[in-house]
Amino acid sequence: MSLPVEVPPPTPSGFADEKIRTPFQTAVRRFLHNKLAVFGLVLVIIMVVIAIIAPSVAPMSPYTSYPDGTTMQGLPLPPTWHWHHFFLGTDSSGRDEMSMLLFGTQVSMEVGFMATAITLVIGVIIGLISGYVGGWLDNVLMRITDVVLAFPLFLFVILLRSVVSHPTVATVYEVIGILGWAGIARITRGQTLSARKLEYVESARAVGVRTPKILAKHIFPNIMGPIVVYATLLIASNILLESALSFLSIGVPDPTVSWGKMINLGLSWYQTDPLLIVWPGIAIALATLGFNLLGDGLSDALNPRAGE
Amino acid sequence: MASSTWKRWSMAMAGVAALAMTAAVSIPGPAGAATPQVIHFSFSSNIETLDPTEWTDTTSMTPMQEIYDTLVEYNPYSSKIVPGIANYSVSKNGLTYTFTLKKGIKFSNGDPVTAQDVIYSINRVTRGDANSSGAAPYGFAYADIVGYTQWNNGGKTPPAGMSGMSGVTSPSAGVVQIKLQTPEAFFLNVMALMSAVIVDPAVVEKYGQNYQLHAIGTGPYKLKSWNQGHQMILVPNTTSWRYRKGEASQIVMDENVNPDLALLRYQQGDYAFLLGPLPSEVYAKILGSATLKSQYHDVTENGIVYLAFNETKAPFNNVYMRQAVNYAVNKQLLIKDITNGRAALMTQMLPPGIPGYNKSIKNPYPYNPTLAKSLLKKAGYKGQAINFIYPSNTSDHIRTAEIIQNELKAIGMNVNLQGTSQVGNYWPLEDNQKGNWNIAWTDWFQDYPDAQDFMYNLASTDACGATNVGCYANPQFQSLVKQADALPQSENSQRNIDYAKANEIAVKDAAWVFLYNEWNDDLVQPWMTPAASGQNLMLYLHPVMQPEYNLMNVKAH
Amino acid sequence: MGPYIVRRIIWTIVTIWAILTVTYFIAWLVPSDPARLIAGQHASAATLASIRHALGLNKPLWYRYLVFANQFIHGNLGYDYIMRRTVSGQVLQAAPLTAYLAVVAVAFELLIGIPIGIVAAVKRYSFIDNFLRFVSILGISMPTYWVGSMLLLLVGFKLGWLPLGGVSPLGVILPALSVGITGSAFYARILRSSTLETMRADYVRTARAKGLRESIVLFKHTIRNSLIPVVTYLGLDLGGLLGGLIVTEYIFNWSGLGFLLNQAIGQDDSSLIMGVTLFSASAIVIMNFVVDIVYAFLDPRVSYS
Repeated sequence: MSLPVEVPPPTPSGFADEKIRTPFQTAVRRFLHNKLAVFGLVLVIIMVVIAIIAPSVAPMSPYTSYPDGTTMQGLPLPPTWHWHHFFLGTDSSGRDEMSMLLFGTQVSMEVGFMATAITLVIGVIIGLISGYVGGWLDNVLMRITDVVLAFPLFLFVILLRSVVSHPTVATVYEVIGILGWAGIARITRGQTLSARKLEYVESARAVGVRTPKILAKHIFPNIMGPIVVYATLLIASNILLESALSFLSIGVPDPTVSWGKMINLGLSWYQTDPLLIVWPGIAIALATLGFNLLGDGLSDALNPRAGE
Repeated sequence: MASSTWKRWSMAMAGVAALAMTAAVSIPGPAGAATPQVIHFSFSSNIETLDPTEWTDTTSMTPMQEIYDTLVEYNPYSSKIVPGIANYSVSKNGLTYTFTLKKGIKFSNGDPVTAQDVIYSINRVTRGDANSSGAAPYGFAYADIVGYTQWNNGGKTPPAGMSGMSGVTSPSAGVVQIKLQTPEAFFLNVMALMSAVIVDPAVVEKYGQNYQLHAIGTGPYKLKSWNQGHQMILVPNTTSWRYRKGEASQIVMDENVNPDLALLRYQQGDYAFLLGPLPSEVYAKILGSATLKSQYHDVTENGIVYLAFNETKAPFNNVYMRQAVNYAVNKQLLIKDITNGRAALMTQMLPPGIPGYNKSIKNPYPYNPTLAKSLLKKAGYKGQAINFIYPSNTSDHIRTAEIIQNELKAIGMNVNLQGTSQVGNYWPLEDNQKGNWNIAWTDWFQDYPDAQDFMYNLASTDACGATNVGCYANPQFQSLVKQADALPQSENSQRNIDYAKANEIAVKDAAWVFLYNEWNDDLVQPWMTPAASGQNLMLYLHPVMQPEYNLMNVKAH
Repeated sequence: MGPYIVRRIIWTIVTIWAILTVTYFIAWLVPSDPARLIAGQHASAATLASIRHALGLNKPLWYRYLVFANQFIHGNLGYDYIMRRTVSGQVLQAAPLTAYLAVVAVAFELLIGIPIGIVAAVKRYSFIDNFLRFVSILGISMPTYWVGSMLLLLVGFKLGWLPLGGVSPLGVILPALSVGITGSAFYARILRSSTLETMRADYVRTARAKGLRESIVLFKHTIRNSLIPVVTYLGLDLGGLLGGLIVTEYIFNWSGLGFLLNQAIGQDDSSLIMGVTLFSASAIVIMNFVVDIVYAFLDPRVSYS
């Protein structure tokens, strides 16, 4: 009897389908039926698109302090609802809120994706090696991972970031990425271990299939599910992390626009101009929500028993 | 399985409960609420110290003024110098000052104040290794006293056997005489600085490095408790010569309260006032509320906000570059957005309140980006990176830096912003330690109402790398200022003429980017009233000192 | 059992040493000059040089590192020239406040998350289920400082029900609540899946068949099943909590470790940043160690893994 092309994830699913589908197709169907998950996906797509087209669609410059951008006493303007002229109003330095919101998407997406990418590359490689090779190498790598896992991430990101004298946006995501790989390494290792024990993998090894081929064809597809879920949720938390750093004024440097910075400057105005923190707050929430819902939805789709 | 799980759970809960209980016990109760006779307010930063050898900042001045006295003081309702705990006389040639201690002055622990205590205090502040951890920041102000150089010994420990400056003596009981090397028009002002407060040697020696938690003085209040970084409480010192029946029974000062929270507490009636300069968002709130408007006061101050150039290297050793920046920065926009119209345009180095101010200089560098661009070209700017450093501790500074960066970018300059910390005073040249900055935001508030404090301290070559942060140097300016310093002060004197001319030179030289003059403002609850009828609350009046809370009454509310 | 404990002790020490080393070298990169801070703006170069010499700042880096490590072992985290106090003094004063806030915050996370999870499971696939899951994910998507400021303004100021920040028994509620709201979703998710599992389990069906009231059955077994994942997540949560508390403590003026760290960052106070980081990280590592040992006692199989 021949096995299906892809082996289902190591946890048994426990209920029968009417049609014979590949697990991948099943997962996609499950995902699309989950309204929240689809909503999350839509949000994510919107965010990414805005990040790309922001410079062309923004009505004004997000960096310029317009002389007519504040009242006669130098206070922020309320929304005018005219797209080309302070649609959502201005901040305390006379800058256009709408344009800043649009440009802020770029930083959130860039840091979110890049930091996660760096973390993934480091963590997955370490986890794969550790889980597959085993032995003393596994031991050493996992001990190192334990130590890194024990470092409180936020504290060390702060420490490292405050040390760099001429930071750029890249500095921010590099620092986050380099310090945050321990979790994904652990998960990857665990998944690799289980995948390695699968019957057909063991027989492939016994037959003499080379390691890279095994890793690529058999191990990797099996562990991808949880990693993708983790990565999606990680993007969400990295977006929050960047906004927290920018809120503390140790995030992306000026003049780069960041929602966290907008909240930092707007926070003190919450009595007279609360909209100044409402807009960026909503933006952060939507971006994070999108990735969280997406990750949650992927998790449910790929591992239905837990969400049943 | 179930029982072990419950075991784990209950152990965890027990641990948590124990932790919570111990923590709850160590939590202090709420600070003195708005009960009668308590003056409760906050600072947005720390009270740095109560030790005069460490003093540099205005926040610490508040408790220090209440706990201590100086030999001479400012009249609380003007900026005239009047006797403090001593009467004084000055010799005709201005070289000898004689202070006679008033009778019956005692420290709050009962020790009487002697001439030896005064000599001890002044020598302590001018030692090179004062307080065993470094030189006193304001020790230099006494450099004109005879014997200072030997005693200060270049910042090291004084030579063995030397007990103090030779120019500070006590010819008879209760009398202290100070001899100067050259006359100083503002010497009495210097003796009214917080670094010159009189301390009790026995207490200082007893507590050493912990002295400031046990600070004792002759002032109308004494220290009750100090939870450093959080709250300081002062209570009346009934034996003080300044003690006034009816003064508040407690002064409670919260430290490190962010301005937004402070405003909320003020609005709730908890805080007696909000000290300024009030940030824009607080001012916005005031403009929108008739009640707050009626409690608001403002006053122009003798202070300046400007951008210094690092003139020791390119590109700002070139006057065209400096002028370009001056034309590129829209000062009216800053005055509108950052100060909300409360500040006045800075036209020169001196603020208008200081004698020597040149009235003929009106608006030397109006906003003109086109002219700025052409000057940039004239200077031959090739696009090299320019570092702009600024203190990043308040949103006003951050906003100012961002606005200016954008304006400079608009004329084609490549500007990097670098926020830095502000600790006590702000030392731009220290950051990057190699002088790797080109433009620095900085400000200056008078130590004493005299042009020397601005023109000499901020722009003479002697102060290069210290208070002349960018090392501005112009030989004509320098000689004028040195000449003026030595002259006596009087109305329409030659001194003023010299300073006015020096200002002209500095402006033509575009020595700095002249932004705006400081102002100060505050909110005061209607139940705070002045003790002396017919006087205003000093809260918003005094040009040099911090408000004197012992001269305020708290009405029942 | 014995060897397990020894192993864990060794790794705890190694971890703390690693944290110490990394922290020290990162902090060494922060430009700061205690000599200038002490001597003031007007000091001469000679003064600065003599102060630096007295403080031992001229010694090589590895020497200063060893001195620092030695001091750390003796509980001395150094002297803070900016605040003019010892670092350990400030840290030990702030730590219990943060611990208290963290405990109350976690309590709120559980109080909010657990009921949401259970109800969502019982009403699975219905609109209520979806709504609750959306709400709780929304919770973790909002920045804590935003939620905190809103709570302060609305509950503290406009309604006046609770104190306007500051440390007091009632003052812990709003900051803990803002963390609780934004952190409850994880517990909700855990509770939802373990409740679902419980509902499907055989022994529950058996118990139901025996006629016990469904809610009692559900409750008892659900709690037991959720215990392990909840406690596991608790461990991770406490570790990450400090990061979130930094901003919350600033907004509410709660003078704990986060507040202290925020101050230190704003003043470029490297000795204080180092001290708080070291202390918090070590505390978390030690807490994990204690939890591991407790687990090992209760479940001896753990020590053989």
